[in-house]
Amino acid sequence: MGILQQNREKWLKKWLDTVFATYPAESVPFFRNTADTFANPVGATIKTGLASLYDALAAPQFDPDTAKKALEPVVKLRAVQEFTPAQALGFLYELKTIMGAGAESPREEKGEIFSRIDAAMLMAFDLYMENKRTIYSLRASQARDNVRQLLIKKNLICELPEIDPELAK
Amino acid sequence: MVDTPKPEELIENIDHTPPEEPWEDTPPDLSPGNFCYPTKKKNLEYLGLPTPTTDEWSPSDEEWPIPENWQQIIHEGFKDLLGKYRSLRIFMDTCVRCGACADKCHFFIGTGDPKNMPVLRAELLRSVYRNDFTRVGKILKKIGGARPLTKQVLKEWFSYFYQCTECRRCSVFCPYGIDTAEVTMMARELLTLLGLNINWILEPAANCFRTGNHLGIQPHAFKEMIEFFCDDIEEITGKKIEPTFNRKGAEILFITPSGDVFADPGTYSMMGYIMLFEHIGLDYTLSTYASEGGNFGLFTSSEMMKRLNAKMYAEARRLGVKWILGGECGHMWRVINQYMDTMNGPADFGEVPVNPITGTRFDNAASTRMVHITEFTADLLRHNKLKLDPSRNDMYTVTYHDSCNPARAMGLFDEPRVVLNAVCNNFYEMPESTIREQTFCCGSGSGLNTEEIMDLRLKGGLPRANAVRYVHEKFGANMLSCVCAIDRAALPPLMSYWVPGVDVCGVHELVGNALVMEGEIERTTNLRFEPLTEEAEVEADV
Repeated sequence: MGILQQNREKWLKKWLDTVFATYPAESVPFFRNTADTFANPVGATIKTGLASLYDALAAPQFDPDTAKKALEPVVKLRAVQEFTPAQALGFLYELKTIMGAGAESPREEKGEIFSRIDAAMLMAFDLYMENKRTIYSLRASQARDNVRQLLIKKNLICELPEIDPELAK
Repeated sequence: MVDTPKPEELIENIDHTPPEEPWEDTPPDLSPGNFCYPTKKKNLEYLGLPTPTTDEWSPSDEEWPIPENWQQIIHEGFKDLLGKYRSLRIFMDTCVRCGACADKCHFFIGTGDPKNMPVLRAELLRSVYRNDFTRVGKILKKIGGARPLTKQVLKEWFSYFYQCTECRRCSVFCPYGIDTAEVTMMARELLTLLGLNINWILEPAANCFRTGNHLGIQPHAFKEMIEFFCDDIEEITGKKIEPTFNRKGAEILFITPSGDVFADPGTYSMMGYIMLFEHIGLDYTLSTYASEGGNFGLFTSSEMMKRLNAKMYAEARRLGVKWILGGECGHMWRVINQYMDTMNGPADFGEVPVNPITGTRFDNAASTRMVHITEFTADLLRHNKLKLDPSRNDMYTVTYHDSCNPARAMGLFDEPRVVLNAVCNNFYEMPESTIREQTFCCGSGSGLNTEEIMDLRLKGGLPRANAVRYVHEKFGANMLSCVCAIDRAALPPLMSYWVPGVDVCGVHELVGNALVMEGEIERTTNLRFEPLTEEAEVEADV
């Protein structure tokens, strides 16, 4: 979409700033300025993810899969950090605010971009919940496996044997 | 009609800005999920440690169950530690807040919480030190960086000193060599004076004190578990192995973390050790009493560490062995390499370790009498004593995580790599700034490997996982090897979340796979009973 492409540098920077602003002030310079990906995985994930997402939103044809791919690492990160769900994903709507305050643009184009952002937000919800579910199941399986394996090995409990499919007929 | 807010209004109501108040006034977040469960009283009682005033409590409670004179207890305890350890006084006095450590902590990198900057974490303790023990602090108060010990400060200590894994990455970068891990250890020791320790540390410590290992596995069960592994080894290799237990007169006592006995994937490393020893005909024994290499006393107090460590020497002396061979463990090696000699040494048994197969004398272990298994195996390899078929590990593209303690507390960098390069064909290193002495922690060390803080562990483990993802994407790495039992427990969930498709193993599991033992049958599976080749896999499916 023309308007997003024209303002890419300016708006993407503003958008990144709003995401970094969700972290404690003392940490923002580190997240924003440390370029080494291995020293600063959070900053790198956000920068790469948002740039790709921005391009997906700005593309002439909106491809949900490309947008989802860009969103995945960012949402995965935000899902474990200290945020409420709204705080974790609210950055998507910030782009609307940035656009609103920016250059005048044809109403239809703006409408189209806004609905793309809404679509991205719905995808982000799904991804967020998927990640949370993974965390809950990792928690539960740690608690369960700790003792279960020992009980199985000690023959105190036994698992159901494999059933020969021939016999089961 | 319902008055629905417009999107703009909703956005306005979402507050992204962090609190404005300075760090001293920001209270710690002790909502559920943000703290480790406190220890049960009975564990403290069993170990003869101070207990809280009530049995059941939660760190999210407004009032904590501590005695009325708690400030005096901490003050006296602090004074005692300062008298005992000149290092602590130096650590408290010398920091110039240069910030070199600030962005080196995996918890800071993952959370962005400034109190996870090592300098600020230490400042939590240092500010009280200034207030209580320095003239400048007493006169200048807050301007001089001093603050009195209030209940909020105590809660802060509990929150942040149990958000440090004592991995020591920060101290590598400190120009003064301040060991921030030791600052955390001191703070935890002070908290323990009020009974404020966590269950994931105290229960293993108490179990260890009673049965000799963290899970409380009793001697007969310990023996049966090992025998169970021997049955598996026989099925895979056709070789029947019968290790001995508590055998007096054995040349060597082998001690490993009990995680290798009861938790996958450590169990496969245990099989690897047993196979290796059988193959070279080592005269060794296992102990059901010193059945734990790990030492959770390190996370409690120096006295507790000393007491738990002493059983290794006591057992070595009782059995009359010449020296101790130690398995793949993390903090066990920090205790052995840095503290054991001071606490319980020099060893009053045996002799300077000599590898009976190669004749190599381990002078580095002259005083502790304890040799690391990868040093031992690397020495065997150097002398060509092992017949190996590394292609049996071809299903794996391996990378290596330098476990914090063996790496930074004993400088064990090359031995595991010598072993890995010998036993597998596909080995790739992670980026330089994330390995060896700069290795990133698994995020769950020092007693934090507990499920209630899974989110925090995943955040803290992000820098490690991020480097693994790099070799996974670039070289197809699918196996993360390490030499630490906590790693073997902590890294699998970390990989599941950040880098699905990467599994975790100990170095000696890969040794066990590659080892060509005398008289063994043709192997069709690895130690995990996974088919060795694709053809075998197809056959197994038919």
